[in-house]
Amino acid sequence: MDSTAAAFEKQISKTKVKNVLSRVLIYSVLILWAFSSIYMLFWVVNNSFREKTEILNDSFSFVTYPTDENYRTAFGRLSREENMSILRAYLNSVIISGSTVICVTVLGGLAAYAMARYSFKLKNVLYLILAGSLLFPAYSLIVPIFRMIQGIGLVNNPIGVIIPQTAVNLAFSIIILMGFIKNLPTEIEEAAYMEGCGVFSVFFRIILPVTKPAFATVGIFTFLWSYNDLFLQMSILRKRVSYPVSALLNEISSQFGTDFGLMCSATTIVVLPILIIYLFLQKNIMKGLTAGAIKG
Amino acid sequence: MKRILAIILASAISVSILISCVSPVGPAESASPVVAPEPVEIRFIGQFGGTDPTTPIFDEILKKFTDTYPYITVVNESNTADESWKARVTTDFSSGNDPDVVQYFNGPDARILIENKKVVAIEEIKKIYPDYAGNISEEAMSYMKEYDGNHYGVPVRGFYEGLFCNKDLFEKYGLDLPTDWEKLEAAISGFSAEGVVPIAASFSDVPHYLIEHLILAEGGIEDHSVNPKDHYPESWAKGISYFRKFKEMGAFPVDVNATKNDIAANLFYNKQAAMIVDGSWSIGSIKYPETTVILPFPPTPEGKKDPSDIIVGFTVGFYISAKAWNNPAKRDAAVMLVETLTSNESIAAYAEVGGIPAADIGPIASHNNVMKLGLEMSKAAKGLAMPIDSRLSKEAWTYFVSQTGSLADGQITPEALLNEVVKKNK
Amino acid sequence: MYFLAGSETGIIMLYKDKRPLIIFLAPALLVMGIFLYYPFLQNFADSFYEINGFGSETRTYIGIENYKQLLQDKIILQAIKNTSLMILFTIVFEIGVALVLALMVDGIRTGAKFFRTVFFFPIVISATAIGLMFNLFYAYNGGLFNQILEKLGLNPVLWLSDEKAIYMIALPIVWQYVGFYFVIILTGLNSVPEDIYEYAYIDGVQGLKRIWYITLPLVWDVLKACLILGITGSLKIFDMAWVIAPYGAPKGITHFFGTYLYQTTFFSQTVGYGSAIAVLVVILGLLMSFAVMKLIRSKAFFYSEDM
Repeated sequence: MDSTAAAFEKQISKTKVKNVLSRVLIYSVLILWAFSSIYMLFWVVNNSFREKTEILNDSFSFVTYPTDENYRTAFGRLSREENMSILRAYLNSVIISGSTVICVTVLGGLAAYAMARYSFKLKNVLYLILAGSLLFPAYSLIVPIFRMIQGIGLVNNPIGVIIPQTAVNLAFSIIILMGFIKNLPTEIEEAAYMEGCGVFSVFFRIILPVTKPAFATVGIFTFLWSYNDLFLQMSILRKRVSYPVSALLNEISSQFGTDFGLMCSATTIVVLPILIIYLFLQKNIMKGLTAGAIKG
Repeated sequence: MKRILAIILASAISVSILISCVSPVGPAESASPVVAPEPVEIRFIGQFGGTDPTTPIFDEILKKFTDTYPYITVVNESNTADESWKARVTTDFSSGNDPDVVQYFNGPDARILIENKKVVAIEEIKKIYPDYAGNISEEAMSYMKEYDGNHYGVPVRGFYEGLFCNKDLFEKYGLDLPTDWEKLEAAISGFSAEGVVPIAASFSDVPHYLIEHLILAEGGIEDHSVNPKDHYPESWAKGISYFRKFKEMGAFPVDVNATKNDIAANLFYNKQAAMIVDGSWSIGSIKYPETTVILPFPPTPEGKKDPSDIIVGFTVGFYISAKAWNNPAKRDAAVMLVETLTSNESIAAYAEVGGIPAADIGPIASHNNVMKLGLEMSKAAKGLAMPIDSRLSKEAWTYFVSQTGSLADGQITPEALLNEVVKKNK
Repeated sequence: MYFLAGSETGIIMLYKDKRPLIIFLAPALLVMGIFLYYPFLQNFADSFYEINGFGSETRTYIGIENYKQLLQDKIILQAIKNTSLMILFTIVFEIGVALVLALMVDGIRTGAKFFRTVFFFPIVISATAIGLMFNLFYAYNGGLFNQILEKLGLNPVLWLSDEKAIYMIALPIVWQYVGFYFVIILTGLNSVPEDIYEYAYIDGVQGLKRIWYITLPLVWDVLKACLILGITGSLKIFDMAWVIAPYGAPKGITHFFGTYLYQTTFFSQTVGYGSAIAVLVVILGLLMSFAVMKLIRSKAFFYSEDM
């Protein structure tokens, strides 16, 4: 092997070119995908300012004479009853979905930890049962659920939504969190055990901090599904003052047709808080955090 | 980071606790009764919601009612009546959460409620309140007759269906309005040749009205009104065989099998399509009512239909639940509410957006050209028929609708389709 | 070895005592038992009845008639076919593309935050809105795709034809769910400790090799969870498919289990039959999840080569 300095230089510049090329490739793919995602959101927001009758004819151009009619209609729908307003609807949504997220992550986190770390009989069966429950269709559950909620007297009460929504989302959270916890190295837990830590302090002091990004991810999706789940919410919350904001999406059509302008403004109104929460929670899904935790 | 998360969680919990303590005490309940009668709460589930233009009209009527009777609180749980709305109502009734007054469908939908004695017959109510539903026209009431011979729902507005035409397109291409079958076929061929969609339709997402119009056009009122329990009238097969013929003539949009009703109808509103078979509820969406006309669907060459016969219906009414009726505290209030919601004054208000008023209230000033033509058409009709889905079981009708595309493409024969419909029509 | 993190073999002393297990599992199982499994058992019971109308109290016991009907139902066969195709798309495109995007975003510094935010957008928007947009893409008269073809001097295309429809329905579903798996996989990648990469760098393991031998094994359990979610998700496809192709349009050939179940329960109102379909879907899901568990039991083979 006679690698002269020149050959070495050449080698270096070759890798550099390769690096630049792969970088260009990576960024073009990412930008392309980002464009499609942004376009969708843009399409919705853009059309939310369009005359409703124009949307079916010309939805893809930039709106030239924006109108706030669709937003007025949306706000009007929400405040059809006194005491009801968009803020109240947002608050209702945050209470229901926020509480569901808390219940799901707490109960799901505990169960996922046990499923990831303990070995016990029927563990695989339990896992399968969990996977199976992801497939229960909402309408096959709603009648018994409604009867129980009605029996406990929780109709029109946010708790009447939170409990079944927790049940529905638990399987997802357990399966995902279990995947994350299983991926963690067991050394630290072993070390903690040597130092005399119990299972609970291991869970709260070691597992929880390290899997925070996973909990944030599960949290955001649970929030999203709970928030968008009209079927259960509309079944249990009947009074307009207890409506969540996504109930707006229930108001966009009737036998008389669909108001596509209202659909776009309602979608914008409904999506907004989710994006804000995601941006906020994203900080928890940041890199570097876990590495530090493990080293410490 | 931990702190931020902790703060979110803590505030979410505290807010939720706060709200769950506050929410049960609505201001309506805490308001003290003004007059002597005991305060009473009526739970009402209606279907004026969503984009229904009647919603604001209805809300006003309801407000006037509660202003007049301040001791009555109406909890209004109205929403657009889609499939999950129906499911909520039936679940309510079957789980002891019965509403006091409900605006619901008649016929097959109401049957569950009637069989389980969840709603009270008008005949029963009239024994104590003789004027109840007295203003409703006999014709409108006849549509509310249920399988047991009784009437339950009080109707306020009916609908008619017909063949809507963009008159200006017919003029532009020198074609005659489809007042008879020959002209209809001429129009289909003529428009198709010009690149205009002759009949806007979607074979996918709505029960499209073409089915019943073709059957009526061939079989006339008598055959059309049959409920095919063990065999179907020959005219049904002949009638729906025109789907194939029309499709081959290029009568429908190219994507008729998969397009959505909104998009197809938009072709008609934008003058990209010449005709559409639709109902009175669609008139509000018509952009150019001055150049739009509505005609009865013409009879086929051997059809038994009178040219003036049309399809009409009253399919929704206000019901009083047995639970409210048997509760002495609520009975009066429930009856008063329904009487107000179905008074002549209210019926006139609902009729402003079109349709057939359920009582004789004279002409309505706000009606546009098409609405006027539609009402005239319904008055001039010699024979009236209810839509076919008011008779068939849901299973049979859903099957029927889902096969329309295959029928038009010749992948299933009318006979095979109808045999299966009869089998499913239990 | 450090890389053997979390392998099933290394169960440590800490977890020998099984007593805390009940405290961890009981709350979740209790809530699910009452509000999920018990209702589904009722659904299972319903599948042996004829029930006309949702929430109806009148029901007739008909034994296994609904299941017999299930075996003869052509639409069920169609749904199995379409769902299998969708599972393939889910694995290859949804999870595959999401993995590629996640690896890319994980490997860059500039703009990582931006992409992470933007890729999430599609999942938050309701299927009704996305569905409408795609409907307006596909419309034959004046749809965006045909407008573009027209501008290029080409003939318009029937996008939702019998042959193409299933792919046209799959497109927005796949596109929407890439964002979902992207977020999950990226979270998994982010929890790979930085120092592992440092060791790898010292050992000269880089690029695709590093991805194959180090990154993937470390998120293997997360990918496995994605696979389970992907399969169950494909069996559940409903809202987007219904908005773009109600009643399995055109002509019922694009039915999925979810759309057919919706149609039978709410439109045909044959609730008992719908319950039987739901049971079938759960059984299929269990079988496939079981297969995934058996086939992808351990990640050990990834390590065995040179680590």
